[in-house]
Amino acid sequence: MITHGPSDGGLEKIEIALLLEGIYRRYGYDFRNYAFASIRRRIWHRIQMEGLSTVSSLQERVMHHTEAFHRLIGDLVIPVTEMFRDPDTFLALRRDVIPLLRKLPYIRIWHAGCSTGEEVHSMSILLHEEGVLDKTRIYATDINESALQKAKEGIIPLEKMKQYTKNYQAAGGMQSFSDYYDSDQGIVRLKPFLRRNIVIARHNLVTDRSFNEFHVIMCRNVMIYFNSQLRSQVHKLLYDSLAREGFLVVGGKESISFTPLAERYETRNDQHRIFRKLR
Amino acid sequence: MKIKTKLSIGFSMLLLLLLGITSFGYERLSQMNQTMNHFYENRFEKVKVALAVRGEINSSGRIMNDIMIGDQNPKEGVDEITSRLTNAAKQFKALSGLELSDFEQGIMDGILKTAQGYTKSLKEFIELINKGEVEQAKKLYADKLRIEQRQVIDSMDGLVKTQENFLKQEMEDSRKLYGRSVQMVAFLTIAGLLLGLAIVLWVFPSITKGLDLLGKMADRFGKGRLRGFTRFDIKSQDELGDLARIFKRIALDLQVKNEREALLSGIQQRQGRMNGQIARVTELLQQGSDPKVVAQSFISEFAPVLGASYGLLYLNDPASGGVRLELSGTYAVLGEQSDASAAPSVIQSGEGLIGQSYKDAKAIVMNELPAGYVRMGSGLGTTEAKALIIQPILYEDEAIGVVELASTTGFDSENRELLFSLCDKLGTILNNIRSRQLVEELLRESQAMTEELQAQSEELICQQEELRETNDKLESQQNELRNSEQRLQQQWEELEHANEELTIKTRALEEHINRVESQNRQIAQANSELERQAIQLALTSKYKSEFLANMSHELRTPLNSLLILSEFLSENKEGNLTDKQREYMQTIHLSGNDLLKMIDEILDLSKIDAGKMDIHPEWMVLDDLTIFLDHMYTPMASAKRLSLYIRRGDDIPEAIWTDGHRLKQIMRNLLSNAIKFTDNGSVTLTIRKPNEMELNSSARRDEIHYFAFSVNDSGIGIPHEKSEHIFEAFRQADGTTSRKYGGTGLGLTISRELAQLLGGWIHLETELGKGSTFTLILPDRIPEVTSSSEDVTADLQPHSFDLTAAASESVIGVDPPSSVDNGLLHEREATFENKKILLVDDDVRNVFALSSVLEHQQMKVVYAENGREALNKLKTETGIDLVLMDIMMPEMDGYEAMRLIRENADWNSIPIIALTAKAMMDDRNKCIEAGASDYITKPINTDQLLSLIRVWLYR
Repeated sequence: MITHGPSDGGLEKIEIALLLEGIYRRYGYDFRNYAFASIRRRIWHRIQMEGLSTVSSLQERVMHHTEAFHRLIGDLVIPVTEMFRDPDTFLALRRDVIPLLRKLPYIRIWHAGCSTGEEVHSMSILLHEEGVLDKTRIYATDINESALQKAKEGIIPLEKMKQYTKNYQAAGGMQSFSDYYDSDQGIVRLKPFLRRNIVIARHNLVTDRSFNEFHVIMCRNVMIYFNSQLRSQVHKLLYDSLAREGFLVVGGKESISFTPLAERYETRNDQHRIFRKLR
Repeated sequence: MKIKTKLSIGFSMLLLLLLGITSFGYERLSQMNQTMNHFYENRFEKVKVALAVRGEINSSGRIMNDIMIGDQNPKEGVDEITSRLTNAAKQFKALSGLELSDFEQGIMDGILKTAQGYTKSLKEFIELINKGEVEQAKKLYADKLRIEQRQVIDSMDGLVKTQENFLKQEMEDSRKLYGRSVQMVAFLTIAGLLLGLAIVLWVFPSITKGLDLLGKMADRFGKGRLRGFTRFDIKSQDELGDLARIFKRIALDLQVKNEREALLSGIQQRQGRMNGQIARVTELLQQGSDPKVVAQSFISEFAPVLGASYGLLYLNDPASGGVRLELSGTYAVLGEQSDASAAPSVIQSGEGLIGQSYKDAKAIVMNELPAGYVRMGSGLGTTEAKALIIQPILYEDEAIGVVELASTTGFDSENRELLFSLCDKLGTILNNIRSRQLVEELLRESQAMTEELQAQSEELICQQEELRETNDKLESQQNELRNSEQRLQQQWEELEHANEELTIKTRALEEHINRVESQNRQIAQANSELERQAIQLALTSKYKSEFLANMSHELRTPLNSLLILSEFLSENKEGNLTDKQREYMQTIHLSGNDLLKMIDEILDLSKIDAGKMDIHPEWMVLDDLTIFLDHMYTPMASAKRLSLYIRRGDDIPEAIWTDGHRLKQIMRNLLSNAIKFTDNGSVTLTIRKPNEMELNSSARRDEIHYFAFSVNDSGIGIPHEKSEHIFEAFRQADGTTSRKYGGTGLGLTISRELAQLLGGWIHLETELGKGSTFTLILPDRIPEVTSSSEDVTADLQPHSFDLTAAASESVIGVDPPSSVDNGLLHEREATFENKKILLVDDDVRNVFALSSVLEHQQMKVVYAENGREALNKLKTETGIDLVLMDIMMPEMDGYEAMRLIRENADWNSIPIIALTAKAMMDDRNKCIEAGASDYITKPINTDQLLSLIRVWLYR
């Protein structure tokens, strides 16, 4: 790894705190309660990319140059996603969750932290195959505007399609994956019918509030970047946004056990972290 | 004396008495019986016999009288007298047989003597009678017999008389005896009664007294008044006394038992209370999760229960290693304001009594506290505690905290015991909570670490992505840098040059401006006209494109079948065609191919005409081009025994900025033409700087460097007058040429148009019979064609063109409608070009449909009818890029074929796309399991198929 930064952890902490405070006040993005270890790495990554040497110098640049801020944001928000990422989870959704949603007259699903939308489209495909896409609205939100832009386009680099096809197959796909896209030179474009029922909008889990009541909330590998206080806060937001007996899906390595609301959920599928809000 | 003894004595006496009376009575009665018998047997018999004898004698006397009187026959009389006398003698004899006293014997003897005399006389009388001497008999009778008869009768009477006397006397005796007997019986009866009374009086009191005592006892017993039983003094030694004593003992035992039971139930009650409290402690504290909260609720709850009015609870701090005690719960502790000092919040192990108790894990009890030791109070007043107890909280003999309680009354053992038990329970609970906390903490940490790991891995993925992008960027930047260096050099020169020009142009400009102004008006006018026309034009162009596209599509479909069928036939697998027929077939096939090519070219041309041929400039490395052409045409040339030379001048840059794809297209045209029209000799491609003659073109621009791609052949050449015609669509130099050389005659037209699009032109030098040289002149950098940057001095013509284009763009948005876009208007893609696809299917219709699509995309299609043939094809054909595999086939089905393909390491990475008519999940899974990379269902959507192939051909 890269060795960087001052050995004086105390000073570094102050600098990072100041930087995050500055970002919050200047741009309204609140990273103050993100997990320190991760945010520290991301900040140092940006410092090196910018050719700087201290957090303070980055702060100076970010405060005065909006582009520098956007570059930093791009680093702080990690847009790692895949179609049918963790295929087993989608298989579990297909088997354990969708059958229970089928009886609803209208289904609302929220992908909190959807990044570039691969998972949203995967969900759309899943719902389509289960025959409930038409009565579903998927709300896909993220903090990162440029990621959302990509999500809106529904374009996927060609080189990823082999992996995605494998994922799709492993997630219990019922048709041919190529039913869902057209390819052009170098890119793959998902078919428009998949995006018909998707609403894409910016939403900041840290600062924004609940905006609807959902039957399923997918919030996978988002809260791993938060510290425990923020995690509790976001859990509250998710809980408030979940309909009774609605499902919460978090990342495979995440847990809700240590949040104050843990006992308000029953575990639907422990392996795939699917929880159900109690009545 | 026992009642039993008394009763047996009494009753035996009474029995004796009864026996006496009975035996006495019996004796008297038998005596009387004897007397009676004597009366009857002796006296009465004797009298009776005597009387009978007397009667006999009397009778005989009367008979004698009768005889004498004669009344009676003497004979009969004698017999009668004889029987009478015999009878009397018998009676008498019987009488003498009876027991006779002496006196009676004397009488009897006297009688007997008399009787004997009488008998004698009688006998004499009878004899006389018998003799008939009746007078004598009368005399005898009268003298002797009568007297003697009297005597006998009298003695008989005397005997009766004596007997009567005896009888009288004996009766007298008997009466006397009876009187004595009655007296005796009366006496004995009275004596017996008296004796019975005495016995009753003797036995009864002892029984009643005993029963009375027992009754009293039973009464008390029934009422449960057992305590008084000790007062009962039992003297009597009899059975009832024994019974009473047993009763007393039972009662006393019962009393003892009752007392013991009462004691026991008291203990049990106490134990129950304690257990209740202990159960409560568990219930109350089990739910807690924070030791301090638990500690506080413990002391609040149980200090009053234990009778304490003051309490503290300290818990050790595990973080300090257990040497520090922290105040964790208080009960009724006075604050700082009161004179009592507040409890210390931290105590070290061994410090003070609490510390000591903690250290030793032993309770400390102080029952008499010195005055002022602990003050406790309420709002109304304060008082002092009398007793203090310090109890360590233990878990497995290890102290984990201390409870201190103070009371105004003192702690009894029960409360102390309860406190001990409660603290024991509390210790367990606290330990549970602590270990739970520890486990939870560890879990939390591990969860945090897992999540951190996930975050890091995501970041890593992200960074990898970035790195890759940066790498790509860096690479292209390097290229750019290299080129821009050159460009910079050029630009400097250009700039200087332009500067000079500018000054000249400024003047021209001024003149121009006036002209322009007047022209502007015309332009505006023309513009509207043009706009209208442009719309018309665009529409027309669109219709044309659509028409062409449709046409070509409609033509292409049957043509494809034609091609494939003719090829199949020409292979003559069944061997039923003559050579001639095969040749026809080949001709059909070739002509079809030409037709197909022509349609493609028409399409290209129409696109160029419609201005829809897009140009994508890129850095084209010239070496790539030459290698590509060399590979492609050397085999073709050698097939015609021609030499193909490719040369490149040294003063030519490595790369030029142009659309490589179009450049290749032009070069292919030129080269294939050259080879086509040359029968012997050579074809040479030279890349060099152009000479002045070649540069002489209206399209030339001064400030641009040009390069020449010259294709020289030693072929038939072109007549001079026709040298322009050959560039026109559908024209060849000789109308008959096509018959010999084939071709559509569109190639050159397209090449020329493309050259124009790339900013260049094609120069032709030719001599009939000696050969031709087609030279493509291209700028080193494709000119920008945005209208805004257009030179102001340029004449109006290009302007108006640009405007039209712009107008048509903006008004129509010239995209062809998607209904026409059947994948046929797609630009050809490099991805597909020259890729070899193995199509495995036994259904000819499918083979037609698919191969036409694939071949149109410049892919090479190899067929196989079944799995086995597919494997053979894979062996014999090299460089197969992708396999399209039908599943339901004869001989060897798709599954097996795929499995066998995957078993071969060489073919492991060839993408296989399975084609199946079934849409079942199972079927799909089977395909993937068998080794298919992907899957498409029939009927096959060609766009989808192309997308799939694109994905799987991506390298």
